[in-house]
Amino acid sequence: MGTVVRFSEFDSYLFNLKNKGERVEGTILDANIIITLSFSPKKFHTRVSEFIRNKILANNMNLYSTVNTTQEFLEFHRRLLLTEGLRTAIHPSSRIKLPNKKRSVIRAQSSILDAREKNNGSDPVFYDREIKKIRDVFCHSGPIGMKLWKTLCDIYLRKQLQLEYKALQKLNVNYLSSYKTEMEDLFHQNITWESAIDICTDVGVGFSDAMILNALQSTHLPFSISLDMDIADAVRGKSSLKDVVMPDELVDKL
Amino acid sequence: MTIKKTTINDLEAFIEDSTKAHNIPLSKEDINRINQISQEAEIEESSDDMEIPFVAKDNNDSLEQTHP
Repeated sequence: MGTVVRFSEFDSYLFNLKNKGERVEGTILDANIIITLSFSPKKFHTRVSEFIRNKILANNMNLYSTVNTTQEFLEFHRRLLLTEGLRTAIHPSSRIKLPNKKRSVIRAQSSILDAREKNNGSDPVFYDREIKKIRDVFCHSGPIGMKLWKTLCDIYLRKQLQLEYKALQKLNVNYLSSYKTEMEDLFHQNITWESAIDICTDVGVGFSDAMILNALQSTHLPFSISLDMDIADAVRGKSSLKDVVMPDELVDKL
Repeated sequence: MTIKKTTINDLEAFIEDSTKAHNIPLSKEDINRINQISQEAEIEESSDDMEIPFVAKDNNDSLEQTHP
């Protein structure tokens, strides 16, 4: 039966796994772990990076993830870079002088984000729907508005996202596939959509989470690491799922 | 292909490079480029504001009648 394991209990958890003869050659990282490692203002950044350094890499474990991770990582940084760029552009000290209507829509969405940060401790990152509202004002005002939006994207995103992707490659994450010859030994069954649907329908978890849990079930790896309460709830709600390791503060909220 | 092994140095390099990627300062040229197009866009915005909307002349006028 799967359990939710606290960071602080990991040493004894690992000791027990090894005593039981389990293979602990690696772990699956949820995308939120990789995103948190990459962005130091994020809550849990220090705890997660210390845990990966001192408990996972120091124990010679390999890092695995699903192919969705790169998409989720780049998507987070797209929203982060646009948020930072657009908010900086309308700051009183900025030398950028955007047209009035464009400034107004950025200011309006930024106020909503300010409130979210203040009231909920949310990340300083626009939701995609907020970026769409801003983009609509640029792109629907005429060809020059569109040209201006494209210029902002070019300046705020193009080089930065390429560098983020290169940075991610340095982490040397192995993307799980039961069809890769070098991973044959890791799998005891193929990863299938049917089994992902089974996990999803059993506990109602989203498909990106179901894919992490499903990949874990298909391998000999004993646990994943996540910051997602949905993953923890899924593990607690479906006894056949494997373990998830999380920061203590999140486990306390369960 | 073999299974990739992550070292502590790899982890540090990832964190450092990712942080650098979203802290690239804007150049003077970038700012000028944005401001030049912004000036043109401001004119585009103002001309949108000056467009005269269709106004019905009296109660019997409707959009359907005038724009079949």
